[in-house]
Amino acid sequence: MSRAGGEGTAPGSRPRVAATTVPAFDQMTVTVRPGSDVVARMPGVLLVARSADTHEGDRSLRAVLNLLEASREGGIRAPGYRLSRALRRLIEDGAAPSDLALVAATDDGLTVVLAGAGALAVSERGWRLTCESAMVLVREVDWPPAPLLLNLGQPGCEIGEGMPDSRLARSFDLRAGVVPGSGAILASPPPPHITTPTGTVALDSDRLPAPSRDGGSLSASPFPPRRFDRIHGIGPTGRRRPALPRGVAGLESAEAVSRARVRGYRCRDGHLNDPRTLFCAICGIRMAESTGVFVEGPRPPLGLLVFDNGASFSLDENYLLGREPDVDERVRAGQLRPLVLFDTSGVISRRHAEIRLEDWDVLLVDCGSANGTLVAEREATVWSALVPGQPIRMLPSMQVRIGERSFVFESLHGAP
Amino acid sequence: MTASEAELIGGRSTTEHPVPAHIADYQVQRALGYGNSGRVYLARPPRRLGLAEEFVAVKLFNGPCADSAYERGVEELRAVSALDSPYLAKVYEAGLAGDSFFYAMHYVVLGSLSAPGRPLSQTEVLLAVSHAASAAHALHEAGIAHAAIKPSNVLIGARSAALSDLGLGRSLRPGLTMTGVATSGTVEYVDPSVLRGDSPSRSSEVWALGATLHRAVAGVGLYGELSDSEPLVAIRGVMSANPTLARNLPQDITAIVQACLDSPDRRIPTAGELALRITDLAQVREGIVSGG
Repeated sequence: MSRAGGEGTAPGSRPRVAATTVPAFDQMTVTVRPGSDVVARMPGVLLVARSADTHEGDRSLRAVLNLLEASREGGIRAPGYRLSRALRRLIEDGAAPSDLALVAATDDGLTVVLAGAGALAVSERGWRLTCESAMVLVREVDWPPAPLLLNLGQPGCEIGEGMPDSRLARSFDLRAGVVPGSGAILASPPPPHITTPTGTVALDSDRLPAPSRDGGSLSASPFPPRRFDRIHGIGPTGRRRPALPRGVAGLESAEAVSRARVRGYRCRDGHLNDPRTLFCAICGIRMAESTGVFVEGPRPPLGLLVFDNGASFSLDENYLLGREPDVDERVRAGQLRPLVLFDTSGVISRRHAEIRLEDWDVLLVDCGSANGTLVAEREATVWSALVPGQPIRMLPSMQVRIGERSFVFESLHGAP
Repeated sequence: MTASEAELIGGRSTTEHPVPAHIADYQVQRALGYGNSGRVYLARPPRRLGLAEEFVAVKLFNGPCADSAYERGVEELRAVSALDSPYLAKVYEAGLAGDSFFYAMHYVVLGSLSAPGRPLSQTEVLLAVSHAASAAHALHEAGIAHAAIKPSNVLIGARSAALSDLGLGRSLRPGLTMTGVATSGTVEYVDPSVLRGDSPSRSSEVWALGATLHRAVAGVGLYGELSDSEPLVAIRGVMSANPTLARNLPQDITAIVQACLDSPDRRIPTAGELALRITDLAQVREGIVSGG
């Protein structure tokens, strides 16, 4: 989660670049990337749209260009909101090109409209916005601090790629009009300064968020989140849940029914215990006072995994530990519970180790991880690596190390 | 940053962690608090939310969050929001910033019960816990357990208190018994039965409310001061010892805390009843109800 340049950044002192973008938009240069689709620039707006060689395609392209034309004729310098509303309607009516990407100036930033394969990217910052499965995506964004690319979904394209010559490319600039192309780059003219009413503000990269190096787990960009959902005022989609039962029966009491069944002795108070133990794991009373009848019942949790950072997990299910345990089919099928381990060392495998409950035992297996799973008995300082695929029985207070993370098995049952 | 803000979610210094300039399109002003499950920041909300408020509190969870977990989290937050209780902190939006789950909620200036912005009278503390209990009851009636009731999650508003920070840990990471750091900041408020693997229930939440009331009035925890640096030691401490009520706790409050920690069959059965008992006590103390 660490991020270069984060410390010492005082957001309040950041130049209000956004407020200066209304005059700036039309001072930006637009470089068109060669291709057979359509690029259009009008005051305050830049569009890339799919051109289809059909009557239908021609008509839908015309409809969008008409919108831009109308806003130009209206002399609106910040047509963002108006255009995005109108364009959204057009898209929802199926009257717009299948794929398009548009940015337009608003009073204090940009509005982005994406449909189909339309994409917006700020390669220098590693930002990319697409509408994924949605029909249309409309976003308000802050003015980006680096060249912004619009295209129709060629992922991974660098901004300079495909340009005839970088030196020459810098002198290209589409000021207004409609031309063929596959994408367009909106950039501040060199040198990279934006004129403000009070003078010139350099887009000082020290003051702007840097891309996160850990694959974007903490988005450092001023872009809207990848997914977002309003909470307040929106009801849940699921069925209304029944009230919690009175007393100790909890949320997941239904789960207990599906728990594996084990055989053991009940203590005087009815708690099912490992037949090997002398004291009840729940109430601590001597099992000698038990009923002495070997019975079967749902398996109680066998203990806790207590992590180095204090998070603790109940051993009531089998777990798959790793960086991305969700890649495992058994996790997706709900047979294994995922336990995501995140660290910065990069030595944890996607599927690293498995914890299996068998009768009253807790087993640990290394899933053939790249860097191994280390264990040490309680208090011991000698670590030994597990043989991949070979389960070991975890003893109470056993320590386990995976990459930079470690945890301890706190047993409730078994030997104290 | 004031102490109350530092403790909003668990009370560790934020100085060791760089503060991002943005969380998605929220402009971060500064950190409010740091806990194990995540961090809370004071931020300016983006215009797309259309909020009148200048600031919101944004809670950003640690680590990546799968889409399926994200959807469970959203569903859970919406279910809570639909209750529209005045005693539940209002959550505006949830989202994924990069791969991390976050949500934006109403920002309360007066801090939390763990470190209020100004000294609170005992009656004010009683009313705050009573409001938190009412909120918990509303959740329970809707089939939801909070699972992280503690003083730092009882926010002090101008007129009433609000319970915040629904324990989403279980939605996001099944099997998790405790989301926070296993220190005095969290573990002393967890009903030992939950540590043993029981799922949160009305009964375990009454326990947590009792522990919260105890800490807020007596100024100490039920297990004294637990290790801050060694989670395992703190957990073992809680699991091997019995909670002990502080001697400086007034007698009438002692009776209520006792009734929250009692064995489940004798414990106050619902958070709603606990709320009533605390309100009654506060009123008797203020002489609003004469004779009782």
